Amino acid sequence: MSRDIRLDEIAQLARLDLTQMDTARLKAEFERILGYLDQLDEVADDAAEPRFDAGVELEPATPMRDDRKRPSLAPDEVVSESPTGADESNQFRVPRVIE
Amino acid sequence: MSKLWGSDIRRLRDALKRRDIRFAEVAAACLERTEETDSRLGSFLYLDADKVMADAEVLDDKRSTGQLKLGFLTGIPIALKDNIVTRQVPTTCGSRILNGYRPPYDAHVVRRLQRDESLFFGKTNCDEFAMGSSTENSAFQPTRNPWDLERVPGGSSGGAAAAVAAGQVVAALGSDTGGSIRQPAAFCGIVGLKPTWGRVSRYGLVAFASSLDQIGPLTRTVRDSAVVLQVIAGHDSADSTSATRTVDNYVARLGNDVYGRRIGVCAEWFEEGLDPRVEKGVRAGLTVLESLGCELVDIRLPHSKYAIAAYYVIAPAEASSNLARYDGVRYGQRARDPKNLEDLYCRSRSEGFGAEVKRRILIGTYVLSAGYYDAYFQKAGRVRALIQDDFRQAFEKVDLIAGPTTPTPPFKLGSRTDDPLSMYLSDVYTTTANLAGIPALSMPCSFTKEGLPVGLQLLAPHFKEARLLETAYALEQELALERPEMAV
Repeated sequence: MSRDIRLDEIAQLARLDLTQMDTARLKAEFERILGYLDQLDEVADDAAEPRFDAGVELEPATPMRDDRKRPSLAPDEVVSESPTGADESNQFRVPRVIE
Repeated sequence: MSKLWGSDIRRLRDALKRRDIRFAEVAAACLERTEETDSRLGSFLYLDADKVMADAEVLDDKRSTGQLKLGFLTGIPIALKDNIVTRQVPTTCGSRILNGYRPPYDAHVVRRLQRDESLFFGKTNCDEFAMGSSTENSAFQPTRNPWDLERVPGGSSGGAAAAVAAGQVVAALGSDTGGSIRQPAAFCGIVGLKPTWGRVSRYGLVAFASSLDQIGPLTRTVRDSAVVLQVIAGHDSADSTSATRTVDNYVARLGNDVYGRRIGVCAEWFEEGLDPRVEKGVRAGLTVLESLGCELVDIRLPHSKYAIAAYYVIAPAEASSNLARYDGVRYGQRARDPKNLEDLYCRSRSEGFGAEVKRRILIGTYVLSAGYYDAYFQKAGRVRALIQDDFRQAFEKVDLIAGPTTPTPPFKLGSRTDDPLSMYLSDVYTTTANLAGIPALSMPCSFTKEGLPVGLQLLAPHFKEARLLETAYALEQELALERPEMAV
């Protein structure tokens, strides 16, 4: 069964550029994998409520902490690891966002 | 001690305590062993031998001035999978996109090892962003299996497993999302433990799939596994999913009688697809458990056959979100001369990520996209709920579940790289534990005629690592497995 897999659209959503890839092969792999995933259809829609957590009871479920300032990462150390390196104003440098 | 590098933690600690050996000698033995073997194995992505010796000498100095308190892991050489962040020490996750990246902080588990003054012994090779079952997806190099250099060590913690098996280090930390500690442990003939989700802090573990990831030990013995877990387990306020529940005394419980323990054996796990050599080894292990007084009980895990399908929807979906941060802005590689921000993102990511990572991000994006969310992601969530129920019901009848870790012994390098799906299927027995958040351990139970290790897997209910370890220990002691000669 050939699906209508619009790889270009998915790649756009994922911010990936597929021009350097063998897209015919990628599509074939995708089809094969999705074909395998089709077996999920064997499970009825009313079989269970979907779960996306590990099923572990944690207490408390949502831990809170005091609203107190605490030491964090050193900004200059963090920024110096960026591709454009250290910056006097501790900012990450990027291309213009608004044209 | 003839082979210092092959020793376990207890013997090393006893010898260190009696001052029969110095910390520098332990370090030198492991460094020598690594030097001799790593050009053939390729376990390490980063290792600063001078720093290792210097750190060991500091420990010797501290001891000579009476300033050293001998902890569980003091002076023990421990390697870290390269997806665990280490401050100012390169952390690549096996990916070009993080080539040269030096994190500004240490993972929580690293701080715990430092508190015990263990000896940091480098970063090990892995499949890129922990995505893979053979370590062949590393952007830098493959790692080879110490038992047969033509075969894979497993993945994604292949470098860590090979390093421990070959005696380059005494222990290592890996991570397990769908089997990435247990499967390489099985392939390399060592012990690999994935704790309960939340038992060990994920702060500083580079995220792949957050509802599945856990850090755990890779060691040569069950006791060593218990010792390492003792040090790394426990609450961390920096990980809001980290369990506050008290950590058991894993080491103290080793040696307990396992008589009467009910061990579930799942028929679905012994069906078609299981290599007869693996089945033989695992059944021999089950027979030994019976001889120890354990009762083997037939159980069913009816939805485990959908585990791989559910995993390969949920894990890529979470990964597509977790890997969105690699955008060429704050860390890692950036594409040259970007035309605009969008171009920066697309080209940085496309140049930096390997094929498998891209494949999984695309699958993840697809299954979360409008129109397909119900068809895949919701369905996978349903299967996850059913698998969790299967285990809940099984654990009402049994104390532990036992079965194979992998469907085959270690396969040859290059034999599955052309077909991603065939690679995914090697996770058939391991993904269920991640989907259900339960702890699971792999230990060697036999070697094939060709000298390849076979792993037996034990699974327990949430937070029952002590039960897992004491049963594995009893089995290990009774098996007294003889190992053939290693290829290195």
